Amino acid sequence: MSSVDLPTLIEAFYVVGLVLATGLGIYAAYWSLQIRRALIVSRYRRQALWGALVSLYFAIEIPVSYLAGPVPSESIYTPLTSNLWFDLFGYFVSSIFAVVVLFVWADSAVPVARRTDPLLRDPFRWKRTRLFLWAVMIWNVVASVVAVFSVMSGTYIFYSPTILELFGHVSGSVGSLPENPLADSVNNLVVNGLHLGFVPKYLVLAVAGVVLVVGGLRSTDANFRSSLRWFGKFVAVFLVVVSVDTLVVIPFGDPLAPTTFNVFWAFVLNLILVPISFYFVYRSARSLVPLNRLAPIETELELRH
Amino acid sequence: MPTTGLLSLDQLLGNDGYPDRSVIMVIGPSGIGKEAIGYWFTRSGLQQKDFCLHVTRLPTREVLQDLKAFGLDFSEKGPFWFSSEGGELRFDMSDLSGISINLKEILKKNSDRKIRVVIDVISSLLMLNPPETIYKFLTQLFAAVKQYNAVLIATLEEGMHPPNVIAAMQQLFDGVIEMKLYEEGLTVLSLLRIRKMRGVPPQPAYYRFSFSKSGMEVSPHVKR
Repeated sequence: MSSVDLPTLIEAFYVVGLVLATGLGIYAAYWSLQIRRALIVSRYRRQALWGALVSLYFAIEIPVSYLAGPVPSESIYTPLTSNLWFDLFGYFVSSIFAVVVLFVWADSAVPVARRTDPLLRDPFRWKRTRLFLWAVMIWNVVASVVAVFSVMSGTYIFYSPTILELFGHVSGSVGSLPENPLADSVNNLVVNGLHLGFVPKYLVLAVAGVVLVVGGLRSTDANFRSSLRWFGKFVAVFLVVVSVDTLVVIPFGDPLAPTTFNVFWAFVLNLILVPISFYFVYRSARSLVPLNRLAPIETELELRH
Repeated sequence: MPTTGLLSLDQLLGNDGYPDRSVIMVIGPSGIGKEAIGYWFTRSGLQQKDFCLHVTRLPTREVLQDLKAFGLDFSEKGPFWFSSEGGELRFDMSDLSGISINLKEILKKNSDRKIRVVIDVISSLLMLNPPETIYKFLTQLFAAVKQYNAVLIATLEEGMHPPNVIAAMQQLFDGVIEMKLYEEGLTVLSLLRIRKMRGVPPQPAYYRFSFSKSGMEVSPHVKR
């Protein structure tokens, strides 16, 4: 986004919004870890731990991706430095780790949903389903990293001229590929990604989301349901933020030329939505268990005792 | 009086353990470790060769797994399991009268021994039946418990029931142990208090607690 000039004031507000959001995310992670420390039963501790890691991850990832500078699509698909392994690590952290951490969080929350269902129903036979989803997830992670490696290193391990040409026809970029290495890389990555599993990775996450919704509806634990609701709101707003970045900033047909107008509105929307999404994470963390306060009269009695 | 199986809790109760022929409720949020109080009570009963009955909506193997987290192992010498799977008797959540008949039958059969009962199904039963039905069910069960010289510990989930239901439930029990999470400044504390216990003077004090493989550690909570 920084390639387009924006009024300094707006950019300053945006930075304040990011700092606020990061602070809220770290604060949410802190409360999750505090709650984890106070709990005894491992499944609840695990849920709190992964809730903390999700908060922490997004709290750090958002400002880092802003400071990295380029629009998200560029930061993912083109080498940022001359160090291949560093770029691969950056890609893994910025693009794959988010999905993995969300999936592990969901995996830790489903057993809690089951235990808090009076009839002890296992939503969508999660105990078995999760094994399959884990396998798909691991395969996707490996495949995605290999696909990106193939592009970044220039080895084009999975290069497929026929499909690339077909994709070029569909996207209307046939003929420009040889002259445009970035478009070549993007197209190749999309093709390879579709081959190897960018899409299934998100499908796995979607399945886990549906399982959690069903589990949440069956659960009779008001705290668990409340925590899940707040987390759902976080995910929903976060998806809107991501969509704003990819759809508003990058006009259809020309991924390299975001207009000032679009970038301005993306900034404004992000400025509002990112802190809100992290407020939801914070509420989700605090809702994991009922947190009471000692009333003054109780404290007095306690001290007398 | 039957020991709680936890030295620190015995001390809180005047070194005597739970009152004879009593029914005790342990109430707290999910994950705080209510069940552990029941597990240690059962373990102590097994050591003293009492008849121990564990009533659970979970499959036996899941309870055995949970026990391991507390350093306990009932796989060789365990209680009589009345569980949804893998127990001596099959627990069917939808058959309230069947549960009642079976429980009374088991108590009667073992009336020549000291009996300890741990039950973790009340919250689920309350969610699936009208509260009045469960009050009636529990009143009858508790009468049988006292008739056969048993001590019963039941866990109840905080956050699953309206306050009036919890208040009414507490009236049915001889003792109530409350485990809660409190926010003090920027920390979360797990505190315990004896809300009521037959034969024990009222105790308004809160205690910090934690579990280890050797049991539960309790210390008075001093507000900072």
